Amino acid sequence: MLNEYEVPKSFWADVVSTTCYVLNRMLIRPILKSTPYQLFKGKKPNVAHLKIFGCKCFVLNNEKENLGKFDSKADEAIFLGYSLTSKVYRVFNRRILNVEKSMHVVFDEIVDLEENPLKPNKTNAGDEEYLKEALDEMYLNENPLVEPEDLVKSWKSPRGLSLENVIGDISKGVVTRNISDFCTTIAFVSQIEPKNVEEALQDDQWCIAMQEELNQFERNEVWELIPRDDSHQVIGTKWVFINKLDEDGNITKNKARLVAKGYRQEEGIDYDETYASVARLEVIRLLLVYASLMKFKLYQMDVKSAFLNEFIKEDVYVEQPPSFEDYKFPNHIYKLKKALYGLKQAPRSWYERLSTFLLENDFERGRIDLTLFIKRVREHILLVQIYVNDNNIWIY
Amino acid sequence: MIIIFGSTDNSLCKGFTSIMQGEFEMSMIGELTFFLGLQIKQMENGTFISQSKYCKEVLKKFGMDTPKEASTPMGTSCYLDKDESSIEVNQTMFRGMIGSLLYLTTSRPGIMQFVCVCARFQANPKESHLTTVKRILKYLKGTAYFGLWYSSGASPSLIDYSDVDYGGCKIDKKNTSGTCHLLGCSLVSWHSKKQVCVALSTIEAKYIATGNCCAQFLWMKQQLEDYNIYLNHIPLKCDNTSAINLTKNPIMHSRTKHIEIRIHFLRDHMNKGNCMIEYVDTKHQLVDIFTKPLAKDRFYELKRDLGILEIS
Repeated sequence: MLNEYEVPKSFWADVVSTTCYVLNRMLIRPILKSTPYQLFKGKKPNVAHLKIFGCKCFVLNNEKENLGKFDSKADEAIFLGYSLTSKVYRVFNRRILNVEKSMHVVFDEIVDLEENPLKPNKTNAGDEEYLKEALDEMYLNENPLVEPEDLVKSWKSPRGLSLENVIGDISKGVVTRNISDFCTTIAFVSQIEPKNVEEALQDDQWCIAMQEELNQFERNEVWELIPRDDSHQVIGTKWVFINKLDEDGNITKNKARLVAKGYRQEEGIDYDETYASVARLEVIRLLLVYASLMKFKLYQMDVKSAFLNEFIKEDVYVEQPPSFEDYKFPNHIYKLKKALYGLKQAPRSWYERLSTFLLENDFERGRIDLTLFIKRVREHILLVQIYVNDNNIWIY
Repeated sequence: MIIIFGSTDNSLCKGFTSIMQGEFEMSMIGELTFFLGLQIKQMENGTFISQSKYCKEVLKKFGMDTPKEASTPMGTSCYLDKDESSIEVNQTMFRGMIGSLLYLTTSRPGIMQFVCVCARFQANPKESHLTTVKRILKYLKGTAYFGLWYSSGASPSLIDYSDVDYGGCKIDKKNTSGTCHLLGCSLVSWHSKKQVCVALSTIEAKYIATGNCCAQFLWMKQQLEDYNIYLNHIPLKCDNTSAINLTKNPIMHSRTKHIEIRIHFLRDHMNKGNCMIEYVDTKHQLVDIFTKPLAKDRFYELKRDLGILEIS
């Protein structure tokens, strides 16, 4: 954290305090499913005010001294953290070389990517030296400059600290417990579940998830781009974001799924038949009893992106996915070749696809239960029970 | 999209897996362990299904994860009525509780009847109804790990029980019919339902219950034929001798049309050889658990007989 914006190392205590502050509001405990802050206070933390540690910011120097007409109203400062008692930010004012607290801060969080590699060369060494000297002087003299009087309290411990009194090497950083195994899950999976595309686009992991979904569409040749025609009824599309959990409630995967707004479809134009039979729970129990009586094991398999496998009969047109429009033809629409989640005919078309496939492979359909398929070879029997569940989860 | 499959011959399973892999993209293949919230344990001598995880979630959701436990889901002296003078309770929460409990009956038939009784008051829940539902939750608290045990090795024969709680409902004096179907000692299907019409006599009430039972086992018989199990003369256990005699002798005691139709329906299936009605002693009547609240000892005895056990 110190290195990112080359904050002087003397601010290490602020790093620790800010880290605690942020982690308490961000880390979601796996089983309890809430942040430490939530557990303690009983309400959800507000994270809208969190900023990047050490970033450049501008603090209003109003009413502190007389300003001339053309003097600048703001001082450049380094962002150091948050106050524990009130809503103010702690910043290091570069002009008066002092730590102060203020509400009136404007942040410049943008990291200029092109400029970054040159950064060490650009910052003149003198500036760095000067800053450090000033800091040391400030700490040694124990004589802080002007501070708003109501905010002095919590800034006591680092003030009396001089570099000589610190045990160990300050450039070494703080040694914590081994966190490697928790990094493996947290680092590559986003812990949040965005409500809309705008939120999702802020997060790298979710961007990857959305791109993956679109790549899968390309691979499966789900749709083709065609010019918009007023005669087509076009159905909107929507992103749905779901975190997949394992049995203990840890997030294992971020799944973004593009769904069609099926409720806009009209009967007779966009779809004809929608009924798809679903297995009854009694059937599942009967199958379990039968398996245990005949002493054989049951297995399950999960068909990935079930609906993307099936061609549809009707002409259905959908809008381009929000925030992922084709930059050459932003006004074009997609003509669907295969069913999409959310379409009314999706479960049925999938059921038909699977049943024709199974019937071609010498299976016979159950006489009253249409979701059961049976294959008889001599005295042996193979039972296949299908359960189309995806549709229920994804309709919004 | 989930596919469950199994075969008496393992090579057929392998063949099926490979043709499916050739045609579709699979994300997971393995032994059936977790399906729609049901935890399934397949062991050497049988199969155990439970919903302990779901049960705990439900208890936590309704803030019942700390209170004391109850030994039975409902007291024997508990009779619910509309209770109009009492305080209203949050309807959304009440409905949420009923909904969660109804799904839990998938592996916990013991609470079926009590949940159904409480469900009748969803339109206008009062404090007394909420207390009853909380009693069920307290009972679940102590028995979260219970589930259905399906032991292997028994012969695949079907036995049906049906009974009725005469005049069970306090409000409109309709009866509660209960049925259950056991396939080789394993409880497969059951129901507990208030009858739609008022019965004038016990026999009439029994007939309505037995008719329902017959319709259900006909469905099961058909389904089992798909599994290569052909059953005939399925015993239908009933604890009322006069009801049994009525199916055997064509004397028309009953005067109402709907009962006449039910008698003919049953007699028809008896003549075809699909079923036979047998007498069962009240002591061995397993279906009591679906019709009325029972004392602790009897409740536990029936639970054990139906295969509702706890397995660690």
